[in-house]
Amino acid sequence: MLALADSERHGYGIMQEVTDKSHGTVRLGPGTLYSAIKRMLAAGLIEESAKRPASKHDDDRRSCYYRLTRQGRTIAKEESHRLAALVRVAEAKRLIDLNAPSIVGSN
Amino acid sequence: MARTSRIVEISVRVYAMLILVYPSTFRREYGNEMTKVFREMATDAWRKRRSIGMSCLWCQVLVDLLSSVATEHLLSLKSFLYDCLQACTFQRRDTMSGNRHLTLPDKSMDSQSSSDLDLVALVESLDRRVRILEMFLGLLLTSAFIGIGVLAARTFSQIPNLTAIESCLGGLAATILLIVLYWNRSFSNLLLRKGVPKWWCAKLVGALGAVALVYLIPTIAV
Repeated sequence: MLALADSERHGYGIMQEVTDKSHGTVRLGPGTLYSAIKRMLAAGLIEESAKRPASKHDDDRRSCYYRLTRQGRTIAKEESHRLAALVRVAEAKRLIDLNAPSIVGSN
Repeated sequence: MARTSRIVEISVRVYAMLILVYPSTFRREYGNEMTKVFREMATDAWRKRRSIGMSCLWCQVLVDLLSSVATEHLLSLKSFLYDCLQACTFQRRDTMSGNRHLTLPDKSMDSQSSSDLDLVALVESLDRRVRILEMFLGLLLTSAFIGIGVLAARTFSQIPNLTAIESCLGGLAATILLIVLYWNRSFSNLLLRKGVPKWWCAKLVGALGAVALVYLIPTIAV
């Protein structure tokens, strides 16, 4: 869902975004990706986009693009707030230091 | 460049064949998209790291395939069981109400639309029963196919110069072949177009053909 937060993407775009944002630690395969897409479509969190972004490649134009629904965006926001609150608790208990060089360096 | 496209093309074809192990509904909906994504992955992998990239890609894709196939088949089975439960509830409700809606139609509807609704309900009920039967038959045959696969492995083990692992792989391939030929809807449709009268005949013909192949290959080799 985070991969679709800023723009609509096709399957391979989502896969690349997940790999980039996780610094290569999470690599989705086509089966896992479309299994997740199927479940999120059924839950109404994402939807297929009718628009096709302008692209040089024919494959990009033919691929199915996905975007977050209003409900999906709300749930993504709520989940992000919940996780941010957890991180703040962990920081207050000195389990993590968000200003530590290792964390800053990875961003 | 020609070699690149050939390797990528072969990989894509192999992947398109491997997709057959997914449940038919999932395959029909996402099979093309998955193949397209795999093609892009393969092109990237070959461009960046050549044969090492392709090997890594295949390792990743095979692990992904095994885990997602298991998940999708379990979800498919869960959906079937849910349908069974719904069909049983539907049947019970009909029995308890004594088909009241057949004799006492809603006053707001005219008799024509009411009888249409009854017909739709009847067709839905029959369709569910057929699907339940298909599921039980499928489970029964899948179990039988696994048994046949084990027997095939034993037959393979009689071939000279074949190790135990190779025999087991032969048995596993036989099991997968049987299951794919039984569950694959497009194969059944092909047989139906060729003149086989019913869907279950088509499935049975496919399964029997595969069983014959499983036994013919090792027997000829021996």
